[in-house]
Amino acid sequence: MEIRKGIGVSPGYAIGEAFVLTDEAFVIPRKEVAAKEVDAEAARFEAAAQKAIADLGAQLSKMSKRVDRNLARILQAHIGLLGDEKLRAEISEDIRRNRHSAEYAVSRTLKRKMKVLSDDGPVAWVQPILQDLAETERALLRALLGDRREDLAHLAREYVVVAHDLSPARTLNLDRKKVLGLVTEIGGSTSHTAIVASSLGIPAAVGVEGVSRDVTTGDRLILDGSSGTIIVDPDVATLKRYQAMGRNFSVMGRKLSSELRDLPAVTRDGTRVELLANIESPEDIPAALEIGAEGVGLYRTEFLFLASQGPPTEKMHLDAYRKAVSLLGRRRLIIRTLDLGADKLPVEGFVAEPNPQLGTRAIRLCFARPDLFKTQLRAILKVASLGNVQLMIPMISSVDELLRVREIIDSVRRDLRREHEEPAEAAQVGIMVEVPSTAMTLDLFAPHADFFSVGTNDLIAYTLAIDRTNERVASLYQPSHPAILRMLANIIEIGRRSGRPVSVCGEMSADVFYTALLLGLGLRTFSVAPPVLPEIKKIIRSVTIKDAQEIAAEAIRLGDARRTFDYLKAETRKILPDAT
Amino acid sequence: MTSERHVTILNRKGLHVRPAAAFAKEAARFKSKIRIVRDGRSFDGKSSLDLLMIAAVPGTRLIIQAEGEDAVEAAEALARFVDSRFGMEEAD
Repeated sequence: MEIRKGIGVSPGYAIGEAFVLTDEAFVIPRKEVAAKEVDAEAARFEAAAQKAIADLGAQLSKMSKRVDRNLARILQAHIGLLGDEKLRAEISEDIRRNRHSAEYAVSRTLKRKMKVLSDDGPVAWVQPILQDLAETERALLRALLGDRREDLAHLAREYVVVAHDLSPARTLNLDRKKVLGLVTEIGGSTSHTAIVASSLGIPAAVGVEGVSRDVTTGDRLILDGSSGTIIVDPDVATLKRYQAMGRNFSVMGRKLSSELRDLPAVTRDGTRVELLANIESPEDIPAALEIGAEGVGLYRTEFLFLASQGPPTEKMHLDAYRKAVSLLGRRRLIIRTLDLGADKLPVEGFVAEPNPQLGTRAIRLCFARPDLFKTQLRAILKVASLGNVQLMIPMISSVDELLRVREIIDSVRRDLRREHEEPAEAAQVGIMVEVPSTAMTLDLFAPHADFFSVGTNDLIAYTLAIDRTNERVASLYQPSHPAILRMLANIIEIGRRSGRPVSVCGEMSADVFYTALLLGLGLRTFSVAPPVLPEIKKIIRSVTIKDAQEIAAEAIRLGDARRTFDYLKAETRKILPDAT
Repeated sequence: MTSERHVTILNRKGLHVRPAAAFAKEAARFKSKIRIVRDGRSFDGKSSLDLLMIAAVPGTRLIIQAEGEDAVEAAEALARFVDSRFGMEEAD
């Protein structure tokens, strides 16, 4: 049994076999087999080598003649390497003499060769050879691991997925029924993995050092997504304890949501609060409504862009939005336009930027590629008249940009009318408040924006100058920082004075420790990942506005991120004793 | 019977995976044992893996040693094969 600590980012317990997802290099730990199994192990390796050759051969025959001839020749060369007698003899020898598992023998033999080359050879010349050897290793391991080496969309069984990092594209298609939990080495509490896991209600821990190297597919794993604890190969007593906790957790969660689902989000003194859901796809809507969401406060459309090979067509946008509207009826649906950087999207004509977070992102990319933007706007405006649809623009940093967006929307409307479509005339246009310049001058935006939605993740990152995916500085990412609290107070106040609704859709509104604070600052609309909705509602129903205002005043008065957070935690636990 | 030939790698990218595979295949046509010697280290000429391990860059001098009944023929043919840039166009 071995215990690892990371950062818990999505509560719940996951108990099951590990599935180690690898991008490039397989990391195979040392494993030995019993003396009497050595022959079987060597035979297993031989069979895998044949299978690897057959697999590459199948790939080769599928390649049409049009495809680069060089590529076909490289594949042939790789087949040659797999069939190399000397390589196979060395691996078999390692299995027989050292009783290594076939996987380990393959990995060790080829890694040693690579080491010899990289130690002696001239770097530039050796690099391609190293890649060929790595490819040979991968092909053999793929054949050996068989169905245990799958992707997230086609898991044969339930697994706790372990990875160095999970890209948005990778998590996009993950099969929710098969993924028990997510564990990554990279990332902080607001990393992509954290956001996806909590929106899907999958337990997750990030920042678990070395986990993808030290855990092997098939290892038994316990993941506590609240504390970020990972237990590898637990003993029976530990396993039983966690199984019991897992049962309690789901009972508590269900009890909480079934008790609260049909009750309104109203404070003890009768103030109505709106609770909306953040979603990634229309498929999230039924579960969100089931758990008590009153609508969708943030529909992230990035996944549409990531899911399609090229830019999504108008029809792809339309299909998704129509589905969302049909599921929501007259409930609110706030669609956020493309919020990706050029780095995440294969957009022609864009070169890699040294600092994508400060580069051609979101609305800036839309201005640079009006075709992408207009296609999305057309679909939104077509659908808007069918329901209660609002448009939300991310990354706005000056009034100028907002006016330019308005002009583009008007021109799209004109185009649609010319085509005898009936674009929604009244669809509201709001902005994300996530760039400090906008937060500081929000009064200037009020005449031109119909509503404000605070994206706390980016607002905090930009204000505190923290890259939240960099684990070295992730701890400096503090929502309770006095600068953030003052900004939020200012945003909510300007919204109130100008009659523009304000919501918070960032992670901060989904964190129970900040619920009373936000209420006290005057926030009346929360948009959160569906699984946390019952807890947020519970806190709202347990306080009065006067309590919340006192909590907010004290939190601001303390003027120190750590002390403020400790204070908020203590106050929250008075309301919800088991809050984590 | 043994036979030996000296050759120089001419391919611009050196002895990478494709020429290595091609050479091993060519060498396999002969019954003789084929060794490639570089700076006193010897490699199996019928193993593309071993050939890769030579990490020969353009200009590297190698000795082809053949031992067996068709040694003379093998060394001659393989030396020509290396001189012809492993039968590959220089495009790669």
